[in-house]
Amino acid sequence: MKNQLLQIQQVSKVFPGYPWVTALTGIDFQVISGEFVVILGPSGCGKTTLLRLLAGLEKPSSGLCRYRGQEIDSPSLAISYLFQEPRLFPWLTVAENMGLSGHSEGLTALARRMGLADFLKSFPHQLSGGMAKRVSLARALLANPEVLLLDEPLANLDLPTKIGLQQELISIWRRGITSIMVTHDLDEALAVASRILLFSPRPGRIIHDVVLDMDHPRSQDDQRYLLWKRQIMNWTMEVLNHESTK
Amino acid sequence: MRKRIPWQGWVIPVIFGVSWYLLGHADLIHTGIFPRIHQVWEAIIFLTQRAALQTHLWVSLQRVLIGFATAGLIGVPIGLGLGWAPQLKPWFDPTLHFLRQIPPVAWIPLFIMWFGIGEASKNAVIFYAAFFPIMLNTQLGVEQIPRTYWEVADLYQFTLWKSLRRLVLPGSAPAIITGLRLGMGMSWRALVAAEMLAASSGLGYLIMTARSLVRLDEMVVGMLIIGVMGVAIDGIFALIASQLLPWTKSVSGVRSTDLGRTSYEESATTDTTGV
Amino acid sequence: MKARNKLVFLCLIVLALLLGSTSLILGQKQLSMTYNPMPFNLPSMVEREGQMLKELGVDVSYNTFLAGYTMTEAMTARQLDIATVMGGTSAITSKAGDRDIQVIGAYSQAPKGFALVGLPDGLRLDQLAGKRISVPIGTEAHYLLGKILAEQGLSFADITVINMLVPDGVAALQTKQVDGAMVVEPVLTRLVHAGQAEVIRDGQDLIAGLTVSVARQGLDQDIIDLFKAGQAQALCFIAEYPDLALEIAARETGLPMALIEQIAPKYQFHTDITPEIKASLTDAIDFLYMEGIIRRKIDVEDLF
Repeated sequence: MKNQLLQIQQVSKVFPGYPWVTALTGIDFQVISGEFVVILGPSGCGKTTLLRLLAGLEKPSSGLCRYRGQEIDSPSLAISYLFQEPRLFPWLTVAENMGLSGHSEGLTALARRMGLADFLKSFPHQLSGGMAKRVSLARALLANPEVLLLDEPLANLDLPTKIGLQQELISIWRRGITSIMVTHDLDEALAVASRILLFSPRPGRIIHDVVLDMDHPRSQDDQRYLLWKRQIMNWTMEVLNHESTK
Repeated sequence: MRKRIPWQGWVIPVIFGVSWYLLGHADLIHTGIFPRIHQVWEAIIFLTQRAALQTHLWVSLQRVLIGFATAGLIGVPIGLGLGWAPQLKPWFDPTLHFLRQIPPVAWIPLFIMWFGIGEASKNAVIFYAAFFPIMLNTQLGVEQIPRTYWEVADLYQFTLWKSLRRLVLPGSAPAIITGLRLGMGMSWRALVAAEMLAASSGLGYLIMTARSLVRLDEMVVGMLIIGVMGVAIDGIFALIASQLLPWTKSVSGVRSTDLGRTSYEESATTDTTGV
Repeated sequence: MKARNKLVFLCLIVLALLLGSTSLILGQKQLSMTYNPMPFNLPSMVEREGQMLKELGVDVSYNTFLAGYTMTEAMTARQLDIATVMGGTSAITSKAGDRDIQVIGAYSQAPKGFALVGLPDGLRLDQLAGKRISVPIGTEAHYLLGKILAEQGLSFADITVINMLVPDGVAALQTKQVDGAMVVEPVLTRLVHAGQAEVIRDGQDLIAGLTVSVARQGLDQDIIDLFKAGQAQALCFIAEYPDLALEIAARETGLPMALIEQIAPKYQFHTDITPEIKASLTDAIDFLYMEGIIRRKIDVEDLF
């Protein structure tokens, strides 16, 4: 199909060592332009590894990842990555950190929109955790990407910060940036996703791939929301029962 | 701004000075073994009036600055290179480690033959003394830059020049400064040794001549000046460091003034990441 | 304490007392002194060869020192009792530096045994200004250099003084790192003999070229007397068997007899502190004070 942005074809990832760790096995899916894909799975199921493969920071042990038909073998500015931790350079100011990709058009406008305007000359150690995460997100956005990879972006944030950032992510997606987010939190996933890939425990593989037909903003009291929540919980339970009877 | 030497630091020197004075006053110091404090003061006056002290100090300072600057200009790039390209390490590490074990003073007889008894041999000794702490700490500083930062550089496709300017240099700067401070300390010590062996001026020469002429007070003057200058130069470095590395101020205010923490001597046993 | 432990303890005490009294009964006097055949210390070589002090009942140990100040340092640390041969200048600077020492006799006089040398056809006496000269500071050679400069109407400030021991100075001269070097015997004669250097000015009529024997203060007078007796025996031997004495010197220094025969006439050995010697020491004190080499002026009588 023409609008297939990312193709993940039979991807496995094994980390050599003692013992060898199989992080992912037989992963196969496509991402269409404009989706908000949430990869939902337990800790250690290889979600982060999958994002790193898509970002070009690692290479698959077998299989292929393609971006617009081209194999992904190194990072590119078109696919931006928001690390779980902010990873700001402590020796650069907020503005300098934001401009690390080399693109700085619209830096002040973006900073104003994200509430960072007053901190452009500050150093990272002067920021709160949520603030640092915003800077990190701004840095990823300034690279002007087509795809945004989000690694547990809402973890370890206080509630107001979390809600604010969640809205921010939705508005970024609405502006046309295809987003892929990994999380282990079902409510986080249901709040933003247009599609959910449910992962099994390690070695990670896709056990369900569902498209959510819900509009934003979503309410947790909404009937469809509750149905989806129950459905996904059931699937998770099935996997657990299946594992324990094995 | 933090005070360089808090008042507690003065207590021991002052107690020492007062005891020195009182013991001398009570005729309890045998001046054939150690001078009295007023003799040292008179020696300072004597040497200053003849412009000897100023000359020796200036000559020594010049030697240290030349040798040290050369060591910095060569040691920092090599350290950056070895830290940045770990595949080079197996080639160079054993040789560098071997050379580091040889005290600079042991090279003096050879240096005198190769470079003569003039400035060149002294500069060579100081270069040798300062090179290793500078080079090794720089290397360590680059190695201590967390892998996570390198991934950021990868992700945003840094050029070589941008990696150097945005990541490698600032990331290793605290360690480089530590290396420079250690190197400066080593320079002073090596200098005195070099000037003791063959020289016609400098603080080491002052001490050695004083020994030959059985002038204990002048020996002590030389030692005092060396110590004071060492402390002063280190203080200047600490000041430069705090101006140059504003981000280290509150994260680890101790770090830029604490010599031990990132120095290469400790690196063998502890593998800390430098954030 | 158990009876058996008591017994062991008692035995140990008795043993210690026995050992202590044995050494007392034997009456061995311990003496630590310097020994160096160079520059040309004939009486020392003869004394050691003939074991003269040992026969006088002295348990003597010989130590080699290369400079006068290291000898007085060792005396301060009580590790050296007598410095057999010390330049008059070293004795003066040590005394001025409050070292507890005492001159107990003369040793030798050899004004021609010290000299400023340069490479053949190199430095000339009237061209000393601005030159680099190596010299072991605080020694007789240093004093001579001052006198040579004064004779030319110059002072130490007019040249560059490089503080080096004689062998290092010779090496520096040969590699042209210095223009001139202050040397002493036997290096002096050997260099000149081999045509590697020529004498620019020796100490003749400038200095007495005096060396003295020095004891640390507080040393037993008995031991000093025994030392003097040994020296006297050595001098007698030299007077009676001069050829034999020179053979000993050739063997000890490893120099050919031809060189030894050139060096020997430069040296006079005697132990008396004559009025002439006192006068030359007084001269030296005045000169060293004037040049700033000693900062405290001492009286010549303080030395003894």
